[in-house]
Amino acid sequence: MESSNELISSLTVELKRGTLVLLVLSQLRTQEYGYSLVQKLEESKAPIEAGTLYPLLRRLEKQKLLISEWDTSVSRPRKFYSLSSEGIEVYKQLKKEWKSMSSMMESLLKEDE
Amino acid sequence: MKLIDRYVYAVTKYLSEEVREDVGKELRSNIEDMLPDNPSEEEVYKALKQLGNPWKLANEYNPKKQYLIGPGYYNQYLSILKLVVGICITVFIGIAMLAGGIELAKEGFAVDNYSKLISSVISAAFEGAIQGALWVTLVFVILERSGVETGRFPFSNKEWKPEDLPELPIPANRVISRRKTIVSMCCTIFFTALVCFQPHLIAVYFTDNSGSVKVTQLFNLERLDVFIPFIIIVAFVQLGIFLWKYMKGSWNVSLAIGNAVYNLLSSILLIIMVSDKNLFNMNFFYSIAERTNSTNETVLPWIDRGIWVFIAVVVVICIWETGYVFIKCLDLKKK
Repeated sequence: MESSNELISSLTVELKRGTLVLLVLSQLRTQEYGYSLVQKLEESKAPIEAGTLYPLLRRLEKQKLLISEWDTSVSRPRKFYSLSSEGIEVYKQLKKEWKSMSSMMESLLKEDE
Repeated sequence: MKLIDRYVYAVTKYLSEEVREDVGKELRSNIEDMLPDNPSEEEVYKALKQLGNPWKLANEYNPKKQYLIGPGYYNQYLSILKLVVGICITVFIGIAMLAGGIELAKEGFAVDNYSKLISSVISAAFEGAIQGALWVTLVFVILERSGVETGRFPFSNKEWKPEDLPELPIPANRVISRRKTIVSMCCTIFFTALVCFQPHLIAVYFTDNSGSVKVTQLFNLERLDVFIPFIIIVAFVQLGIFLWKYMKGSWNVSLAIGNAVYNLLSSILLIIMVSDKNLFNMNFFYSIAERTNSTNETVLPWIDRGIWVFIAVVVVICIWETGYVFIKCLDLKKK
């Protein structure tokens, strides 16, 4: 039982990992900085580990889906991220993919019940 | 706050220089965001614990290919590493014993000379292991980076097609004998190591009337130094092709092209070397002439003729070998 639990948790991690990018893109129509995004996702019951999220933001920026700017006007400078125009396009497409995928999964899993 | 500095440093030291500063700045502000104002040591401790192992975090920041030899080649790399390191150790010990034996014969069989021989054999074994590991690793890094295996031709990364699959069973005339490849690899390593590390051993050894050994070297060592980098390059190319052959086990077109390039390179180098009169120690030939009771004047034209014959033989062998391999490959394609 021990090993099957382990397997389930590692498979769940993999399932979640696939949704990570879509999740992050969906929250970045407005500017967010690292920690504010962590909190926002936590509040929406979709917590992501900070150690995963921060590097992911940088990767998405490098792929030109996000744009970033440093806000140095406050005492504690923060790096703000938001969707680029390319990011908006990609987000729309991914959302479409997700919807068709989840409705397909929905109907497949229903047959089982 | 020292704990935060240490954490940021522990992450950024693994990153490339261009992003180090920016990631550090961002990471620091993220950590500070996680903390209340004027946090206690304990709160900092908890926040860092939550972020986890800095090495792992740095890994997340580094999405690029970060290995020299990837999983695709790893098993082959290990088996060939063992093979080549074994060969190199054997060959280097052989050369050290040869050199030591000659030394012993010259210096006399004293205890001191024996211990010198033993220590040189041990250091030769290490030298062989290190050289072998270095060159195999280098060849595999090139294979990994160039993506030879992913495409039919080197450096093209063409899309894989089912017709690229080798025939089963591999036609007998296309099979490359592994034993022959290993033997050729031994020879290459032996001669390259001999010429590069112990060229003074290539000599004629005559005992004169007083009974002492007179050594006359074939090469002019100073001149030979000029050629050594080229010899190493050619040996390296050849070693790469041997490893490629060993892994593939059968001829294909890209291997045949590689083989042709190697043949061209090696014959150009050999031809330049033999036609360079300064490379050879004329006393070597005079010494042989003396022994065979001929004069220096009668020997000289023979040396010239010898060089021409040698060049002709090299060219013929290279063309024949290159052509033979190509015919094997093309012949098979037609069927």
